[in-house]
Formats: sequence, structure tokens, C-alpha cells
Amino acid sequence: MSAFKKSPWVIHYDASSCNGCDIEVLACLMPNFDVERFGIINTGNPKHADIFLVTGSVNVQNAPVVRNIYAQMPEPKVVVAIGICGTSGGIFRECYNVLGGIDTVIPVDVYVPGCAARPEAIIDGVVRALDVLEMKRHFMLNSAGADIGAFIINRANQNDIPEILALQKIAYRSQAEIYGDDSVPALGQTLDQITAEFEKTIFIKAVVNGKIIGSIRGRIEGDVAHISRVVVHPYFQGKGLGTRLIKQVEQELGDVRVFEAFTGHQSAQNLHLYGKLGYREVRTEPFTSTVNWVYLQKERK
Amino acid sequence: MIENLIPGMVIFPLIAGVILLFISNDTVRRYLVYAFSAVLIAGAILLAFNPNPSTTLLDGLSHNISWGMLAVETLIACFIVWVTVRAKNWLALGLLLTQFFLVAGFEIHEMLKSSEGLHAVVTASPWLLCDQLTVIMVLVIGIVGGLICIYAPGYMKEFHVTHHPELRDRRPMFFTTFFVFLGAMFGIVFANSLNWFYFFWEITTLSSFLLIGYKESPESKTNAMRALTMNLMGGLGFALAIVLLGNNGVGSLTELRAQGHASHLIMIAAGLLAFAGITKAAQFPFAGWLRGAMVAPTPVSALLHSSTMVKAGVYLVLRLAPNLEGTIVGMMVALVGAVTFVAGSLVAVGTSDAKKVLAYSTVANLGLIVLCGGIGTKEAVWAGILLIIFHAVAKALLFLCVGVVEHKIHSRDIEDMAGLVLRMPKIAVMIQIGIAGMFLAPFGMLVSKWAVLKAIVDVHPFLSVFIVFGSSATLFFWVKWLGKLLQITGSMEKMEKNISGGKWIALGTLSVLTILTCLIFPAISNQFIEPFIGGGFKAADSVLGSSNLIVMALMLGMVAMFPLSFFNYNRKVKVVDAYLGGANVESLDGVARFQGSAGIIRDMSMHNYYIGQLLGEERVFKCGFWVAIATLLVLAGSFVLPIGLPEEVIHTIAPHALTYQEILIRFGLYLVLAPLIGGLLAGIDRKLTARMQGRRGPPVRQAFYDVAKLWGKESIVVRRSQDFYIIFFFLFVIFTGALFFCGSNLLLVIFSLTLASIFFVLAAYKASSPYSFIGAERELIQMAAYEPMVLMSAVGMYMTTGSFNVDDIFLNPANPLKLILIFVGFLYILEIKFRKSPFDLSTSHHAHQELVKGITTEFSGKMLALVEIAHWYENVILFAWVGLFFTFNLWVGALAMVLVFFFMIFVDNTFARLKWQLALKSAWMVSLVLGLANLILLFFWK
Ligand code: SF4
Repeated sequence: MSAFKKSPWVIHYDASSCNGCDIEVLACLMPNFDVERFGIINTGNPKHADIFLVTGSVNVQNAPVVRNIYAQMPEPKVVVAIGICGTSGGIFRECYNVLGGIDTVIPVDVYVPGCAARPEAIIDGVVRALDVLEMKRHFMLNSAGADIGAFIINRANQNDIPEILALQKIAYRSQAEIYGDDSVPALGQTLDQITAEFEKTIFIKAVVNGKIIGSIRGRIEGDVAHISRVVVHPYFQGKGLGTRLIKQVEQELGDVRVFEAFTGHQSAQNLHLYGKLGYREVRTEPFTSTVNWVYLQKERK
Repeated sequence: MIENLIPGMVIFPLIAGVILLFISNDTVRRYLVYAFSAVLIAGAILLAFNPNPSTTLLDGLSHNISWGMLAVETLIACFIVWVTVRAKNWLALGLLLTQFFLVAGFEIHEMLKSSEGLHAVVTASPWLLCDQLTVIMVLVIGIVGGLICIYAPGYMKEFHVTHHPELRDRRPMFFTTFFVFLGAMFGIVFANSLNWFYFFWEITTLSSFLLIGYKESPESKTNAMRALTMNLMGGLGFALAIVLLGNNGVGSLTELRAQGHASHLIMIAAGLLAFAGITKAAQFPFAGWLRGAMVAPTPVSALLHSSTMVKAGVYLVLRLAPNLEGTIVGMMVALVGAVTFVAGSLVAVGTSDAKKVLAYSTVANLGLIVLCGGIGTKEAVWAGILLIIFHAVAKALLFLCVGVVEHKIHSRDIEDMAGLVLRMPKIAVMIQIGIAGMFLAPFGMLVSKWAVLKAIVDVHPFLSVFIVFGSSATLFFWVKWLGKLLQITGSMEKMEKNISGGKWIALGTLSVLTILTCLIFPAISNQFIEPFIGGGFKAADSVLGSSNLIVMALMLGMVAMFPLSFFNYNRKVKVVDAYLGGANVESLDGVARFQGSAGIIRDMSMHNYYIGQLLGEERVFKCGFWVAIATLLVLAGSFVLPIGLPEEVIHTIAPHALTYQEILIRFGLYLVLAPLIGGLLAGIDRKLTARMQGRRGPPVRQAFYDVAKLWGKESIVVRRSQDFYIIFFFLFVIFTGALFFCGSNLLLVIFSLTLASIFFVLAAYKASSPYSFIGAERELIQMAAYEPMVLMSAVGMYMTTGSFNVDDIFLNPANPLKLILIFVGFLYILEIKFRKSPFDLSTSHHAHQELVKGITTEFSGKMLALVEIAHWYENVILFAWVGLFFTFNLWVGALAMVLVFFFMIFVDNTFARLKWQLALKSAWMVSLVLGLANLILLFFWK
């Protein structure tokens, strides 16, 4: 058994609601339940933590805080949503300022329901989280060892859509951080919307060990092929996967005059990637107050 | 040409000064100044290679020269009368008139007696003196002074054109005074005759007065007047000494030296001369004038008020060392120096004005040199001379850097120098070199401080108390400054443009010299200092020991590797924001911001601790003032007391020699076993703590699990370079342990451990997050709190076993009861060192919400694991140190370590955390009371 399961350090955050669950979390950390038996330490610092215990229904005010803390934890990390509020928004779900469960803001791995969740249940949730942590750890090790030849890249089908959407949300988090703006459309997309998009669009996926870790999509309008949403899981970035995805989609799109792609004006990585593949900037359009879209084109050879 | 080098070096700058008076064209002046400075530097180097040229030029002229000097003295006196009357400063006027009539009357009286001139009557010894100390001083004045002159034209142009267009441009007068001053400085160090010495001494006083008042603002005028008054007091002492000695047939330094402590009268005269030196060197209670002198343009501060003129004061005291050694007068002079060292260092902690910090640290370091002179033993004089060299170079560099920075960022407040590494990278590196040169192992000043400590423990162990407290304060304010340079809160624009070539030459050369002096100081010691001290004195035997030199070379090598780590700068790590309690707000310009109360977005900003309530600048200054006054009164009173003190026996035990195999075996064992033991201790600690709280607690191996897990985590940083500091922290902790277990010198062990901690603190500063920043500051406070006691315990062991070497202490067990008080004090600070409650201020294992994790906040993954392992190593060293108190029986030693371990855990779980003020205060109180009491105990219990 790896040390990961023996030394889970937690950080807890209470995202509003009645505070009941947070009190229970603290109760767990007190001597009576003695979670230090399992090596659990309350770090109070995201940079040291492995497990993020969040309670309460996230509201507009504290959503950025939840996101910041999550972003500042080093991988591999696991999120445990505690209490029915954390799971779905609970009795506060209908409030004007409440966003809902924690998973409306960050990806959640373990849900611990209850109102309030009992300390035993919380400890149980943390123990479950250990397995997820271990899994992610393996995933990370895989990514470190993986070479791009080992990725399987091909057309996605209808069944892959939910997984691609989940991946998209993980990957676009970093984009939202660059712009300080959560209205990046990729984050707000719903399952219905993406399913509708699938009707008219070619989806490409990159798979490793049966898990989708990258995707891209393209759509033909007249003699122009529109390429969008290069998505690569954070663990697998910087391995040349983006390049391969773009080349693959260009191939699949077939006979067109030009390829057109767009990205945000500050997404230096994307701009660099397209530039390397021969795309040139053609125009810039404002999208929101913080984001401008940059359009790039490449003639088909 | 060589024959007349000495008079040439005095006269040439005077002529150069007169020429510059008539030059008003900026460019012409600049190149003339460059040329003159080059000649000065060349002259100084030439002299170093021809140390004993004859002085044919002066033959037969002495009578005329004496009359000429008298004329000049009269002119100067008239000028000073004029300014003092205008300023209605009757005290200064009185001082001046008394000393003028004393000296002039004496001189005329003597000269009329003989046509041969004054000196033929009073003395048969030569008027000029050129031994190795003179050569060293000439090198310092010539090279450092020359470089400052090269720096000055560019600075003064900017000063007038950009920054102070409202001021009258008096640059010709400025440069004239500058060069005349340099000539006078050469005169002082070449002079053997006391009258000549006095003549040049007065010229430097006058130059200083003119240059401090350069701005002609009311503030600069009052400060100039204050400097003049205080220097005149010293001058009066000098004049009295001349008359006293002259009436007894002593007219020169060499004769005075030959007198030793022959008579009461000689001692009084030596006391008066030392008093003059103390005023010139701005020791407490006269330190006020140097602080005021900082209103002058920066080159003035660098030249007069740090590297040369104030050195004239300590030069005189060092010259008096043979007279002062082992006397009460010497003891009092040493006390003034010691008080000044502590007070100067403490005042600097509470100051954020960079020039003032430099001024106070100058005062403090001069205090150290005065202390050496007062002690007067061979070792002490050796250390004092080294201090002069190192201090002149590094301090001049720092002053000049601050001058550049001030002109660029329009402030000389240290707080405003945040992020200088980004804004002015080259200057920042130079400041870092300068600061490192001032206090870091293995750089020069530290070597000398070490030598001072050793020299003192042999003679007056009580004085070591001053050194240990002064050093810990020094450490605090320098590291704080270093950290400020590194701290970056957002993207900043580069400002390193339009700095004139002259400035770069001066700064670059001084930086190189700072490093070079550290490398070649054994050679300097060999060539100049040891022959000067004479009597077969070998620093390598009695002060340093060649094996320690090798260790220091190793350390220097390791530090020098630091820049190499930047090759690894583009590593793949995730860069995230500093932790701001989750309230970070993303911003486009890279400035860290957070959402404050009521949704207002604020910029993150960080400020150093200045310990205002505890060490307010004014308060400490006053304290130093009164203590020094009291000491001086005793000095005056001591003339009626018997003069000699019994000679102390100087122990020198050859270090126990190890073969290379033994070193390797010990090192290997330590490398492998220490982390195992340390990790296990950490686990037992947690288990025991849990049991005390009535719970089961984690497995004993938990600490290893934690580190193994951390090793597998992702690397995230706020600033890329923060990790390198951690790596160096780790390396130096290991190195420290290696030194300890290979039986090396305890002081070296302490310095190396301090260096390691400083790297840790700098890492936290570099991370530039408020939590790590506060953690770093608190860690510094903790270091300042425990440092004195750690040093004191080394001193205690030295006194009982006669050696600083771990092996010798181990092999010559002493009665542990002899050090019982120090041991208790050591236990107190051990809690701080282990970062255990009630002293877990910088980072804690308990109550993690408070200030989050302090100094470790921004380190995660592998780096946090390294920090953890480093602490294991550190703890093992500390426990071994505990054992060192009980070497007479291995079992008792082992038992003591176990008991101490349990005691630490017990205290950790029983006491609430103290505020940092109380932590610092109580630690210092405990160290002072117990340390001093134990030293007194040792004094009686031999
Ligand atoms: S789940 Fe219940 S107890 Fe927990 S925070 Fe929500 S309302 Fe409070």
C-alpha cells in the first residue's frame, strides 16, 4: 500500500449553509474521534493538503474561494462534498444566490450525504476518498510515463459525450483562471447543448487505458472548416497531444479551402500551438469585457 | 620616484584637489577625477609592493614643514572660529580655542628651542611610519577611496541635475574637499609624529564638516555642526595627550608603543588618545554625529563615514593596542566598543532607512574593532585589522548601491526596495554580495567576528556576552533586508538604465573585491598582518586552524554554486498564486490582489517587522548613549586605580586529527542514520502527544509515510526560484551535521546552521506570500532569540574544556555541573529551536489555522518533504549537542538526551504559545541572566 493512503492531509472549507456539517468535520478532527490514527492531519493550507472537505451549498460570494483553494492544491487531490447541502444544495437550493452542490463549481469525487453528516460518515467518506486518491496517483504516474505513441486517437461516438464534457470542464478551469472570468462558454455548456452540438460536429477523442484524456471538434460550413475546443487533461499536457489532435481533426475534416480556429487572446499556449502548425491570425473580436476571441486561419495544402 | 612615494601620496591629492577647484566643466572634471583616482589606486598598489621607501624629499625641510603646518593649522582654526561664532556654537568654539592654543603653544615653544624643528627636540624617531598596518590602510584608502571617487562624478551630476535642482551647485568645492580629505587620510596613516597625526586629523574633521553641510539645508547645517563639536571633543583629548607626552619626551607613535604600560602618565595619555579615536569612530555616546552625517550625498557617506575617516579612529585605537593590553584603561575602551556593538546593532533592527541601517551597522562594526584594540592581545589585533579590511570594502559597496537605488526609486527606505531583484537585477545582486560580506558565513566579516569571539573568551569571557547578543541582532536586520530584495508581489518594470560607466566600474570592482578578500585573506594575513603583529604570531595556529580554513573554503564553494541552480529555471512546475486564504482575485497585470471586506479589491503588500515597541530606534540609542557615558566616566576614574590586570592563560589545544577514512565513515553513518533517528523521534513525539491527550495517535512510522507521500505529490510554486533556497537549506543542514559529527569547531557548526536557516528564511521571503513572509519574519525573531544562548553554550564549553572542537570536548570531559546554568538556558532555547510550543511561532504542528503554516505555507510536495527531512537532521544535531554537556559518561549523556526529549514533549503539550515579543524578550533575559551567571561561576570555579 502506498504512503498516499497512510498520510491523507485534509483542508476543510465551509461554503455557507447552516454550518452544521462544518462543526461535525471539526468534531472528527478532535481527539474523541482521533483521525490522526489514520495519519489524517488538518493542514489549514491548500498547498499541503491532499483532500478537500467542503460543506455547504456554494453561493455566488464564496464560489471563487472554493475554486481558489481547489486550484492551489497540488495533484493528486480529491474533493469530498459533505452534507446534503454540499451534495446538491439541500434545503438552500432554491435561494437566489445559491449555486447548488459543490460540483457546480469544482469536480467532486466523493459525496457524503446527511443533514448533518455524522462524523462516522465523514470519516468513512475520507476513507473512500483515499481509494480515489490512490487511483489518481496511478493515473498521474501513467501520465508521467506515457509517450504520445501510446494514445489512441479516433472519432468519438454518442456514448463518449458525457465524459468529454467532464474533461472539458476540468481542462477549461485553467482558462477561466487566466481570464478571471467564469463565463468562458466551455465551462457553462450543459449535456443537452453538447449533445445537440454532436449532431453537426465531428468529435475526436484521445484515449489512454480506456479513459478519455483529450478531445477536439470540427465542423464544416461551406468551404471553411471550424476547429474548436482543444481539450487535454492537465496531467497529460505538454506531451504534444494537442498537435496530434489538431492534425487528426484536419485529416478527418477532409476537403475544405481553409481551416479556421479561435481562442482567447491571452491563451498563449493555444496561440503558440496553432502558430506552430501554420495558422495565422486573421481577426480579433471582443467577446466579454475580459476576453477577446482571436481567429486564426490556415490554407489547406 | 619610489623614494618619494610617501610624501607624494599625501601631496598629490592635495594638488589634485586644488586643480579641481578651478574646473567647472562637467566632462573635463569627470575625466580628471577618473585620472586622479587611477593614480591614487596605482600609488597604493605600488606602495604595497615597495613597503619601505626612503623619504629623501623631507630631509632638511622638517623645520619649514613644521612652520608651514602651524600656519595651516592657524588658518583652519580661524575658519572654524568663524563658522562656530556664526552658528553661535560656543561649546565648539571653546573646544577649538583650548586645543589650538595648547598645541600651537606647545609647538612654538618647542620649535623656538631648536632650529632643527620640533621633532628633533622631542624625539629622535622618524616622522613618518610605514609598516604593514600602514600599507593595509593605504590600500584601503587608495583602492576603496579611489573607487568611490570614480563613482562620485556620475552621482553628483544626477544629484544636482535631476534630484536637487534647487541646491547651489558647489561641485568644484565638493571634489576639492574630497581629494584634500584623501590626502589627509594618507597623512594620518603615514604619520609617526603625533603632531603630524594631529594636523591631518584636524583636516579630516574639517572636510567632514564641509561635506556634511554640503546641501546647505538647515538640517545638514545642524548635523554638520554637531559632527564638528563632537570631533573637536576628540581633538581636545588628542591635544592634551600631545602636550602630556611631549613634556615627557614621547612624540611619536613608535615611542609610545615602546613605552607599553610604563607609567601612570603614559596610560592617561593613551586613554586620552583612545578617547579621541572613540569620538572619531563615532562610538557611543558620540554615535549621534555619524547618524546625522547621513544627510550628506552618498559618496560622502561611503568615503568619510564608513570606509575611511571613521577608520582613522579605530586605526589609532589599534595602534594603541600594546599600551592598552591588559589594563583597566584598555578594558574600558573595550567596553565602550562592546556597548557600541550591541547598541548599534539593536538600533539598526528598528530602522528602515537604508542609509541609517548602514550607518548604525558601521558604528557597530567599528565598535567591534575598538573592542579589539582595547583588548589589545595579538589575536584581537589580528581580528581588528581584518575587520577594517572586510568592512571597508563591503560597506562602501553597500553605500554606493543604496546611492544608485535611491536615485532610481526615489527612496532609500528598505520597504521600498521590495522586488529589487526584478527591477534592478545587477544592483540587487551586488547588494546581496555586500550584505553577505557583512555577516554571512563564510564571508569575511564573520571570520573576523569569530576571531574576535575567540580572542575575547581567552581574556575577558564576560565581554563575549556583548558579542553574542550583538551578532544575533545583526543577523536579524541583514536577513530582513535580503528578504525584502527578493520579495515580489507583481510584475515590475526594469529601472536599471542610465547608470553611468563610472558607477558600474566602482560597483563591479567593489563586488569583486568583497568576494576576493574572502578568498585571499589568509594571504593578506600572512603577508601583512602577521609580520605587523610580530612575535612569531601565526593566525592559522592560534586563531583559525588550517582544517577550519578548509571547511570554510568548502562552504564558500557551496554558496558559490547557488547561481548555478538558475540553469534549472525552466523546470516543469506548476506556478500558482500565493495563498491568500482563498480570497485571491485574478488580475491581468500580475499584481497579487485579494478581495477584502465589503468586496473591496486590494493589492497584497507586506512589511517587515521593526520591533518598534521592543527596540525603538530612539530608545535603544538613548540606552547606548547613557551606558557608554557611564563607561567613559569609569574610564576617567580608572586612572586612579592600579593599572595592570593579571595575564590570563591562553589555552590552545591542537585539534584531534582525523584521517580521511574516519571522516568518510562518520559522514556516511550520519547521512544514513540521522534521518532514520530523526524521523523515528518525530513519530514517537506524535504518538506520545496523542497519548497525553488520551487518544491512540498515528503509527510510529507516520513521519516516514508523510514524507513518502509528499515525495509523490506535484510540485507547485509561487516563484520558481523558491525551491533552490530550500535545496540549499537542506544541503547546509546536512553539512552542519557532518561538521559536528566529524568533530569540527563548534563555532563553525553554529555558523553553518545559521547559514542553513537563513536559506530557509530567504526561501519563504522569496515565495512572497503574506503567510510565509510573516513566518519568515518570526523565524528570524526566533533565530535572534536563540542565537546568543547557542553561542554562549559554545563559549561555556570552551571555558571548561579549553577547546571549541567537538572532538576535544568529547575527549576532555568536564564536570557537567560547571555548565549547569548554561544547560538550563540551553533547554529553554531548545524549545525554540525545535519549534515547539510555547515557541512555535514561525510554523507549528499544532492549531494549524493560526497564520496557517507560517514559513512553510508556500512549500508543497518534494520541497516540503525536504524541509521535513532537514528538520530531522537538525534535531539529531541538537540532541547530540545536549549530549555534549554530559560527555563524562556515555550512559548519563544518553539518559540526558532521552529525558530532554520527554521534557520537550511535555512542555510542548502543556504551555500555550507566547507572543513573539514575549518569546524574544524572555529568551534574551534567560540567556543573559543564566549565561552571565554561569560565566561568573566559571570564573571562580576553575
Ligand atoms: S447538510 Fe444540513 S447540517 Fe449540513 S450544512 Fe446543510 S443544512 Fe446544515
